Amino acid sequence: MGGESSYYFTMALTAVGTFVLAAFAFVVGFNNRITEAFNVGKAAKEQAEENKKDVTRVGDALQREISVLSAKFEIMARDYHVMEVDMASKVATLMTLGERTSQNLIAAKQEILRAVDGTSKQS
Amino acid sequence: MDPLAPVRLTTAYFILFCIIVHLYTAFNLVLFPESAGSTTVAAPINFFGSTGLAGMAYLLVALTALFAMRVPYPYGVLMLLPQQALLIMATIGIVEAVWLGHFADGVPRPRAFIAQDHCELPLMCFFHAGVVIMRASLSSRLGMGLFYHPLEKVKL
Repeated sequence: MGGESSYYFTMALTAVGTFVLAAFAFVVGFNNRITEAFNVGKAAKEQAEENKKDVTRVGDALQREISVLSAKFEIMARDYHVMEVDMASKVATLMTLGERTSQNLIAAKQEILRAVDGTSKQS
Repeated sequence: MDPLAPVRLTTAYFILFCIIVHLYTAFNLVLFPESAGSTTVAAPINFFGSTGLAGMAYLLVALTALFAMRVPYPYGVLMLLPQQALLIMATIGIVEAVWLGHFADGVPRPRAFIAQDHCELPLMCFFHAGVVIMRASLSSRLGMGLFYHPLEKVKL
């Protein structure tokens, strides 16, 4: 068994076989890498969208709160001018409302910070 | 735990089996040169030129494959290829013997006889190729990284 042609045939077939197998294995491997990288990127993007929605929701709630409080302030001011009731009590009420507004603002700010903190942790 | 860990373990066991066969062949070729007449090692010996060299090649290939078990993608897969090449080469030798109708030492036998006598190695070659592809697929997943994470429990 053997001979020159057999030797080269064996060598060539071994090389081709190994090369084809290696090529196939690496195509499978790189395809895996690309797919997984794509999936990870997609998941991160979805998470970022979710976080953005959270922040928008808190921002909207804050906007609504400010609108309500502004309306209340306007009513209080009009009452003060029209009805000319006890000035001291009106000032006290306005001060209480102002304090509540600032508390609400602080709470809303903390909620936004929490949402943003969650975003940074997840990303 | 990685859900594919059992698959990875199975491929590792199969590669380990091939490594043991090659280590046995290496020692047999180096210590007993009269084993050179065997059909399973005919083509590699023809390729490397001498029994000793072929034995050393078998040893080197088996050790490379052994280290490949702990080396991440893509180097781990590359390190399995010499073992695959040797298996392909040996398989070609067996196919040649079946085709010519005689063993490598010249003993004539029916083709079916030779094919039955040496059916293990071509099968090993076939399944080893599958295992190489499986390991390329498994080890290329993200999280396996360039090097295995030291906290990962399943390494094989």
